[in-house]
Amino acid sequence: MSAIGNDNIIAKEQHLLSAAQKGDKTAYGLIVETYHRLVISVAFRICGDTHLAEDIAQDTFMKAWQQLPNFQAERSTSFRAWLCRIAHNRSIDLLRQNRPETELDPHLPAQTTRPDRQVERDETATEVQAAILRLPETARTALILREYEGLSYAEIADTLEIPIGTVMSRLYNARKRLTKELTPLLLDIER
Amino acid sequence: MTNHPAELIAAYIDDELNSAQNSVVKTHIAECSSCRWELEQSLRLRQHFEREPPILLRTSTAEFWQMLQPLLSAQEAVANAQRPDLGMAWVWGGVMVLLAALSQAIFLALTLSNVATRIGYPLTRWLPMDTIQLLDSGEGPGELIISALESHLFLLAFSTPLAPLFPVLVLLALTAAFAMAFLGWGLARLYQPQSNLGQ
Repeated sequence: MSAIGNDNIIAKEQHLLSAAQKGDKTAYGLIVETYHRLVISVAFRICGDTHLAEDIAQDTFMKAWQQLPNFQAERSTSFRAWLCRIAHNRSIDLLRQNRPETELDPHLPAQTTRPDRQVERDETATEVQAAILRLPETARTALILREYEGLSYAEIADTLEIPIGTVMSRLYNARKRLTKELTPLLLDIER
Repeated sequence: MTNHPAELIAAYIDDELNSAQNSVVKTHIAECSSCRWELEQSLRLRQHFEREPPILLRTSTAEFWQMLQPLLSAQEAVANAQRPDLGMAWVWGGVMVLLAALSQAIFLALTLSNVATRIGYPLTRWLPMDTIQLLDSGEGPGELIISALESHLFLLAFSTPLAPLFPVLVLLALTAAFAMAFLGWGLARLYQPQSNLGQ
């Protein structure tokens, strides 16, 4: 995306945020539209359950609406980092309430590839997702935000309220553990 | 090779290093087979993440917003029911705090002044001599200040049978002042809009 196109998107988002902060629900609806998938995805990757992820998304957007007047763009790396923080905190709260271990929901990938490769892909994805769920909470969220949602280190640091150096070490530990657990599967990926 | 820049290698994959750090990692990888292996594995993992299709949403974004709207309204209704209509109460709270603070300041100043006078150390003794002479001459507002400081009102009160109750009264007055200040602060906090709810 060009720099100008990106600037336009940022300006549009700031305009929507400003309106929503003043109580404009239509503007908030457009914000929800933009970030719905992101929040569901973060919640699902953290807790591994699509029903729970949907509940978390609802809670996240309700809390975000409530707290929106307190959101200060200049004090936060980005709005999505702020939203991810709410989703992450809610996911962790619910996970702690709902232990023992959540069953992994096989509802994972959208059917976009050929059926003969699809089963194999689904199995790989489920295996990777299960390995991600076995990571410690702190490392798991950092990895999810980076790998699936493409947040920068600064945004992850803002989301998890940790220094950038800690983001670096959490990502390192998460990847090290995953690559160790998934070595045979990763060698297959090249095929 | 013993010093492996492991965390830098992780950040290298994410393109989060400056050029100097990039050079360090590149040089190290060229020489260290174990770090090279680790980097390759992390890249394979990255490849998997990139290939993975996005998750399947149970409800579309439009349906989700349809479900969310009544929840937001219900949340607002609950917040409105819990929030009393304070109107200008915070202003009166502030006025009460100011009055309480002012009356306590006067009360304490006069008490201190009279106690000091009674035990033979009038507060005016710390003023420079020329100022005292100026005040004693009765010119300007000084006379009024001196008379207030040396007022015998509290001295008279101290000589009454109620004198032993004075510390208790002072304590009560201070408690009342703090209570009023707390009330004013609480009202101001309640009135301040802190969320989108109740707008």
